[in-house]
Amino acid sequence: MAEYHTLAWVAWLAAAALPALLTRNPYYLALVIMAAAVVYAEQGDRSPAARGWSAFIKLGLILCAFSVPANALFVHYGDVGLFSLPRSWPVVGGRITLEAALFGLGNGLSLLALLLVFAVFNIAVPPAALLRLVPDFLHQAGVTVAIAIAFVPQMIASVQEIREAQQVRGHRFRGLRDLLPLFVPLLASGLERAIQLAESMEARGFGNTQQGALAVRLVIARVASVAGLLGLALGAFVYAYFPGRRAPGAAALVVSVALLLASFWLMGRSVQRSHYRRWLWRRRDTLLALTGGAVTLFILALWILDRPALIYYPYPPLSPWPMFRLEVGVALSLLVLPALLAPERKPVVSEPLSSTIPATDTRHTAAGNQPEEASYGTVRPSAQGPGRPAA
Amino acid sequence: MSTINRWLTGAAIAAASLVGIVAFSYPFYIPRQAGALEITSHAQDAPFLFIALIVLCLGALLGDLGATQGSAKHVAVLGILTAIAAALRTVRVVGFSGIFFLPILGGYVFGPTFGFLLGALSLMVSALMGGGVGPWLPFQMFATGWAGLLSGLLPGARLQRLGRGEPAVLAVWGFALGLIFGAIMNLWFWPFVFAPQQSALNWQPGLALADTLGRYAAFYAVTSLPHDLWRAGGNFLVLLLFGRPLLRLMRRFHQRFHFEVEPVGSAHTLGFVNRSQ
Amino acid sequence: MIELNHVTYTYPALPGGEAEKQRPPLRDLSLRVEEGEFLLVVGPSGSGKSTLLRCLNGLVPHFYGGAFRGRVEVAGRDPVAIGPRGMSDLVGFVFQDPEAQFVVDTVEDELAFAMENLALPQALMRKRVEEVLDQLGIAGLRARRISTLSGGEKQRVAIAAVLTLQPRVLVLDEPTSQLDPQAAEEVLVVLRQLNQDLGLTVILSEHRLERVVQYADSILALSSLGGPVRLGPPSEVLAHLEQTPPLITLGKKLGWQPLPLTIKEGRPFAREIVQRSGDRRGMPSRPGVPPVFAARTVINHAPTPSIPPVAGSSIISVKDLWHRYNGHESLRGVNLEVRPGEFVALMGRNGSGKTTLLKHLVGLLRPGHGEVKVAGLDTRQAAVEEVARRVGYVPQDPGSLLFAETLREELAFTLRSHGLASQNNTEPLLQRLGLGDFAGRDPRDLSGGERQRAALAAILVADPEVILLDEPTRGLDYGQKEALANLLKGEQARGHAIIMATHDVELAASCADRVVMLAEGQVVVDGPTRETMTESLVFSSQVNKLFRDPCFVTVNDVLAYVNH
Repeated sequence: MAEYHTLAWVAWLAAAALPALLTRNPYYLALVIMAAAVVYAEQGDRSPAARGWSAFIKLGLILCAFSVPANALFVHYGDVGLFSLPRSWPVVGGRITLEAALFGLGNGLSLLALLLVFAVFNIAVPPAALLRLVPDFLHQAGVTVAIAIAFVPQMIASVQEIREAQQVRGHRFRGLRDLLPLFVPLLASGLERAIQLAESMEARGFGNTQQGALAVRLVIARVASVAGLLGLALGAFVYAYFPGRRAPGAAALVVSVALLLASFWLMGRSVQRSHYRRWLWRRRDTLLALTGGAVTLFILALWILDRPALIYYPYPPLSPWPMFRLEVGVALSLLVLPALLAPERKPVVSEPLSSTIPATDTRHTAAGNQPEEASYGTVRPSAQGPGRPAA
Repeated sequence: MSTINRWLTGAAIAAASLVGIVAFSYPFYIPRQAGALEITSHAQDAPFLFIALIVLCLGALLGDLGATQGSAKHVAVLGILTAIAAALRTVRVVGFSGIFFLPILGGYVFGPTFGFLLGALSLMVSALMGGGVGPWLPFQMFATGWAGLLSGLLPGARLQRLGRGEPAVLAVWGFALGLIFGAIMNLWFWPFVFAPQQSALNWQPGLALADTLGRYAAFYAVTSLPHDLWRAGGNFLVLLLFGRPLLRLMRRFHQRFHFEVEPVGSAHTLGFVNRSQ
Repeated sequence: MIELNHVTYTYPALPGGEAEKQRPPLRDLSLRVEEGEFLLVVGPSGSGKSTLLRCLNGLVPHFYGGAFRGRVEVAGRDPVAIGPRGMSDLVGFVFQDPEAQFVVDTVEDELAFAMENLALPQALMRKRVEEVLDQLGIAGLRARRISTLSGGEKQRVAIAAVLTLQPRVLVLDEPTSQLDPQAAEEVLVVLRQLNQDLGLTVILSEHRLERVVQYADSILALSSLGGPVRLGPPSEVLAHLEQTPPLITLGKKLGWQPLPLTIKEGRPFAREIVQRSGDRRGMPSRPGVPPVFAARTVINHAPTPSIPPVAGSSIISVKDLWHRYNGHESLRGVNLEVRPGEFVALMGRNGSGKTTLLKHLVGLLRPGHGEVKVAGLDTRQAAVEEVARRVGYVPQDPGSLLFAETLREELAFTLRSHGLASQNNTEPLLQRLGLGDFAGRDPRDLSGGERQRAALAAILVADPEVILLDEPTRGLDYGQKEALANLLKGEQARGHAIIMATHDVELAASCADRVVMLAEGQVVVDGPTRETMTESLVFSSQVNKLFRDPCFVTVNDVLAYVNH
């Protein structure tokens, strides 16, 4: 699997998640699922997150399988009856229709597609790379998340350590009640560490030093943010509540979003920091980003201009059979792209266990009795020719 | 300046909560459209609109709170408590997940802003580490953030005087929050689940509020009440059994690890006053 | 370069109440440090070393609050006025715990963190990261995740992470106290190199003087509770210190002048002692024969290496034990017999299998192959609780054990867990451990040494037949170590078998009668302390290195010999 830039993956994510969210058409969803599955398989389990996701996907499969009978049993609506259950049975009794089953299928597939698409994204983009996308105005929140991610392995190790320590005192973890001797040391040592971490951060210049002009700018930004949020709430409500007159709501939404973006920009500018990581952008990133962008735009354009092309609704008065449009199918097939561009397979770089032991250790054992520099005082064999012993 | 900033923090939280209420409760107020078939109409835009809304709103709030609460102390404590919350997810004793009670306690002891951040970020980190980033994540973050926020609004000083009653009150509070937020978290995808026809569990736009509520209650009872009861029960027990020692620990830490230090006096004889929050 | 004028500082009073032992104040402190100096700050726990160091970059008082009087100046800047952030490009600060000072999870990002905070341009950052990586010889670690590094590597990364700002002063607060000797050496070598090659001013606080004393240009000795402060050249200050490494203690007791700081400097004095005694006995040292060997024939009757007589059969019996974890064999055919009343020091470098072996002995791990019998129980069959009832295991970090609100409850919890009646035998135990006054205190409020003893008390209260300790002296000062050693010897005298995993050669020399050394999961040495310590290059005590004779392992051996 070739590696891609995070932004290229974001474009792919948008292109793949949008149809999964917007349509219930089983054909289209099946295409998305197939494309994502190919990419998923290509990814393998490179990150610890992969294991978490495989459980999620199993859950998705189960939900998907469950969704068809559930929908068919609960919704007795539609023209094409399959069979009937006795009316006297509560809830499930009545006509079981093809339409309901198909709708359930669409729902299930949509959920599965969504899970798979996000699984691929999560596995392909490690949290650290994702954090590099965090805009400046979210800097503090980004650092908080980075700290948490860096400390989770430590905390999990702590849980194990504490468990053992208490077990050796004769303590047994049988139920909820027995967790106290685990929680208290975990929380206490965590908070102790937090003090030292905070000191270490402050000693290395972390923290906001908003004074004078910056402080004023921040207040302006915050006022804009509050106004934007209020506008957002009002606009969204008006937009959704008065379907006949969209314009005022939409206008309020646009203005609020603009206000918020301006506020983000101002806040971002008052954060004084720079970025160490340079972005490596390769040709394949351009390809993936452009493809993703194009598919996203295409789907959005269909949604706005030609909604029936995407919408699938099996119940009367529409036909229960989904339709298939070639151009949509082609667009969705493009989602398999990340798996196709896999020419250079990097050797799997896993950190060997021994590397956690200081290098000096191995020297002691390997060179126990021999002088370490065997070539000292001799001529290197390569200078004399291969294999010739040094005199 | 600091009074203005404190006031703005409250305003930002209130405004964001308003957006949250509008976004979460849309199934209750979206009207039926005369004539047109809903499915092809713009009514279907609402869920997507609200996902975008919640994301924007979370961004605004995290940015805003970060800018004012971004001292090294805050960030370090938040980061590590978040890590603990995420690590507690790996502790599987009787299927209990520790993601929820820490934001409640954190908010209660360290204040509403801290509670909101802890709740929202815990879920995010947990999702980033263990898988689970998806369109549902912003809703979960927002809801858990609210739990922390509301816990911060409890009258801590008065409850503390209850002594042993304090953890009991918190336990009931945690139980209620567990159920309420279970219900809220399911709300946003309710309209997606079944066809908008017929069944008593289904969402339909434009029903009367009472009717919608009734339908949702039925839907909730069937689909997730058992699971949520289990979770809320876990919260209840953890807070009841461990509330006192954990609170004691966090309070002592809070006293020792003051959040702001302000210089008082002249250059040569400086006093530094601690201002908690 | 650095000047402190009449600095007085007290931590803020806590609303909760009790004075905390870990937060000692400073009283009217004045000192001057020149540019390029290597200053060692010493003193017992609670003497205010950390507080003083934190004055240099403004963490005190900006981070902690409290009342500050006096004036500090570092390279013309006033840390009290501008705070730690303003000092960050001038004073680099490295902390004690390698686990708790990293913000992000990869080495390279960590190095860039400080520079990003100061908004340095990207090109400059990249250049400095490369420079620092090379300077500290950690270029190979650049892409590693910090959680996979060893302790020594972590501390070197922590140093690198502050060096990227090109500070003029490097301040380190006991950076090696959580490390094993080799990792500590890695760190100290780096410090010396930075000091000598770059002229960086280094201010270092440290418990284990024997390793650093030779690098320091001067020593600042603080004493607990605001006693007199000394600042001067190492040999001068050390002559007045109470707690010193064995070599220096010996030198002071025997009046060696000038006071030797290294083994090399001490050798002539040692030779003289041996020679003189040889003369006294009428056996002139033969020319051409190293005096040490000449002396060996003479002093056979001096304190002889001995193992105390042990009665009965083994209480621990390990036969051909193998342990495999993640495809890595951490124990490979270990055999070990320990009898009641024996005190065994388990030594070996990190990753040699010490902790794994201890966990097998208490039943936390079960043999993949082979057999472990402890107090008559086969750990393959017995439950952990059953084994733990007979075997006490004190983990490395006492913090992972202590959770109750008072020490008394902590002990009661152990008794309850073991299903023992809470007899009132806890008071004598606490008295014995010097914790008599702390029964009602919160264990987490105790100082490092007291906390270690509290954890020990929580284990000993069940009266186990075997006591296992994993690195019990991490972060303890000389006084605390000595107290712990005496206490363990007391337990040994009561018939307990003790196995202590440790890197601390001096501690092992002073209290263990037997040393078992592990390497790559195998027992490579097993024998009486005196013999094994003499044969080893790395694992021998300072006094032994000085005399190279199995008769001399501790200071007392020499004193007894001289006074004989």
